[in-house]
Amino acid sequence: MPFTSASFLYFFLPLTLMLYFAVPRCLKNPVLGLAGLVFFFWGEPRCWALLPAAALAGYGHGLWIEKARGRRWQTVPLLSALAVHAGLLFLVRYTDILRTNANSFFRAEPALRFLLPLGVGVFTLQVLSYCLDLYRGRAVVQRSFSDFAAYVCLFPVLIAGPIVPYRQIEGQLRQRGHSWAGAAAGIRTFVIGLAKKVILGNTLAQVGYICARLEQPTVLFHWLAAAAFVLQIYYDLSGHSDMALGLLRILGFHVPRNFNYPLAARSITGFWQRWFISLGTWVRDYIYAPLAGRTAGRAREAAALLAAGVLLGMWHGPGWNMLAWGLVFAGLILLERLSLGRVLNRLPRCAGHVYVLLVLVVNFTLFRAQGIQGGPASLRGMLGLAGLPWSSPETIFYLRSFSFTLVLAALGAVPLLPRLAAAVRRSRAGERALSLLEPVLLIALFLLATGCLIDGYFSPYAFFKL
Amino acid sequence: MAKDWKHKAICLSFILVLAGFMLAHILLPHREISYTEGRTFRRPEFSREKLFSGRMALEYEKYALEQFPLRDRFRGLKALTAFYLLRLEEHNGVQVLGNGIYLREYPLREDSVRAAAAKFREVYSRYLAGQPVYYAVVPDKNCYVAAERGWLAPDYERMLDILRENLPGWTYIDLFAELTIADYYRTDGHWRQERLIPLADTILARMGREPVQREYQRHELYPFYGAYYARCGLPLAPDTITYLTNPVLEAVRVWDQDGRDLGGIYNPELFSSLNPYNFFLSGPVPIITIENSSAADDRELVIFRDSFASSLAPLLVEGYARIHLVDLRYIPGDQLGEKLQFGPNQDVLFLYSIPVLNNSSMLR
Repeated sequence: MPFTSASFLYFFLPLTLMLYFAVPRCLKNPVLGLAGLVFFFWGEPRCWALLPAAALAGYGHGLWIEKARGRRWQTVPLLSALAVHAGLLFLVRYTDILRTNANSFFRAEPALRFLLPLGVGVFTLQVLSYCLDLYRGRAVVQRSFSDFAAYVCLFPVLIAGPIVPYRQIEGQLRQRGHSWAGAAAGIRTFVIGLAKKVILGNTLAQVGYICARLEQPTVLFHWLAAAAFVLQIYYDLSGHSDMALGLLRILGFHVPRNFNYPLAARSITGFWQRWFISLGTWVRDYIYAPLAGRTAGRAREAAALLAAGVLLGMWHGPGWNMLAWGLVFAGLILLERLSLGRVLNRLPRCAGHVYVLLVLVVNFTLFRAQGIQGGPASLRGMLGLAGLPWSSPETIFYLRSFSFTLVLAALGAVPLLPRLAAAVRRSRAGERALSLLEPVLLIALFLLATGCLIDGYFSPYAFFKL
Repeated sequence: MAKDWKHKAICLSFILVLAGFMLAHILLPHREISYTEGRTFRRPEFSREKLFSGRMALEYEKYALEQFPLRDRFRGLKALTAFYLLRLEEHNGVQVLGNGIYLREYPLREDSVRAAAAKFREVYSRYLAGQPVYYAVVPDKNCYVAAERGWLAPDYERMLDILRENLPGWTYIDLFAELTIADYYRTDGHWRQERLIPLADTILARMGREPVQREYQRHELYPFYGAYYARCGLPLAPDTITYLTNPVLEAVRVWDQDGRDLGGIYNPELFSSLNPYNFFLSGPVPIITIENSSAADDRELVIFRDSFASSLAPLLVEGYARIHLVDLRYIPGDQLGEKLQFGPNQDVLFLYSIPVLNNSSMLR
């Protein structure tokens, strides 16, 4: 069930919130777990059992890891957990692709299609974080199944994260406070996220949709579509993250922000410190750090980075193009550590921004591509090597049509508005005006976003099911 | 204290909106038809198979959006956002200028125009070879604003060149110069009947008919939400359909390909249908014959046409004893001989609009 649907906004959400706040504290987690199951079932009824199975398996592995602590076979439960959960993720994401490739090589029958369940990448990493933290002694075993199920089935994060490591939320599962201020902050974050997705993200998605259907593509349109896609995926992902964080806040959870104006970064390293922070942190803590070690040499560090890049790519979606996308980022981060970072630091600030934006526009072409051949084909189009005209009346028309949206989206992707708001808040009159205006603006924005949802069903996801 | 008030205001107004719309959604009666969107709504039927396949969720979401309280207002809000906040040139495939809505027909599909011309030649040579034959293109109303606004529009000159090349010996009647943007409805692509009298005179004159002196009474129908209104969503004022009558038009007999009486030139019942423009000549009917028993001679006119001819044909009635309107979108060309008699006393006019010529696969 997408957040950007009438079923979610005007049925599931009010009913869930009513029930959640009506029941006593001891029943809040069971309500959350149940809501998560309904949310998952409505979105993916064909694999409804996957989520409760993951919760049960994670819970059981937790108890087993605890029981095996200090014994000779203490790694067995962890390996089992890794095999079950990582195996499940690999199975649903990559089995089809491997089979398709093998079948086309051996000219066999087409592969069976696996369903790609909603949120499998998110809840799998969350369960793995629990098992790994428990094994390392960084978390305490969860003996209450309803608390653990509430964590695994937490519906706000099921669409697109953020990935909340167990140790971050452990205490809040037991006890969390609810307040008007917290709920208001959550509503603010949720409404802003919703508006980012449906007003800007969906409008930017039209550029790619048009590009795919142009009778005569041009070099300029390829660039326009590539730039629009970077902004679109930013607004899609960060919008969803904001909605999730807002909902979590309303429910009493405190989870750190997941995006921190990544398009304003001056290096790819900086970009990944600001883009999908919870995923970057997960990969750093559970993949990169153990592989690289504390006193690792350059070669081991490079291998760890490339492994992290592969995982990042695989996690974002199935396909060889996604692997290539992750590896390009890993390669550039490595290069920045070796020498490029020093060069960038010596150059004017704008050089770093131009470098990052250029890399993003080019590399996200791989992300957008259909299959491994799609990326190079688009890149040839962008570089004028595909024999396309540079421009056309159609390109100019769409460039003119979307220019204001692109400018608006670009301005929204840098921390201009928060700085402006902070400046206004410095004066007492400004603070008062903002306080008066905020409720009105938020409701207006919420109704505007509703309006954008009501007319038509064009609400594509730039990212695959995470 | 002030902050506390602000937080409560945010929370309560959010709850009010969520719960208010949820309750309104549940309590308001099911809406079966939308005249502004020109379509009907269907309640999804529950089944276990649909529930477990995921189709139930999709159908329910569609239904929830269709039945959403204040749907038209919200659609208007989206259109306002698109046109005025995001400053998009186009929304749902339509453009807006002043109070007028325009549908973009772009690019020119040369193969489609050639295929249309081939279809016309085939029909003409099969049934009407040797009869005087004319053709005219109904300009898309975009023609009159696209260049000025920098909008995308097909190359009309090229379209006419293709028709000239592929319809050798046929007489072309130019309608482009006869019309202006004021001759079209604001919320629809069709032309306004009350403004077509000079154009009808031009067509009659080009086909060699004597000028007809006639007078009409004007009648109005309101509100007319055109086909573009549904796509646009902006809260614009609806159009008014003005239609013309006189004793000759009131006396004519009108019947379809099966001899069924259509009740007259105009069909008032259809004005309240999903497509009110069907008021003219009962809308999409494969073959319509209009018989004018007070005609000066027994000359007949065969018009191969699309919907534009429905409002024009009544203005040509005085010039002919019978007018046969053939819509090749609804009857295959090779079956015409079974339904209609062709003879030597017939003029032939192929009257098609640019959207049909540019999408001629709909011609059968």
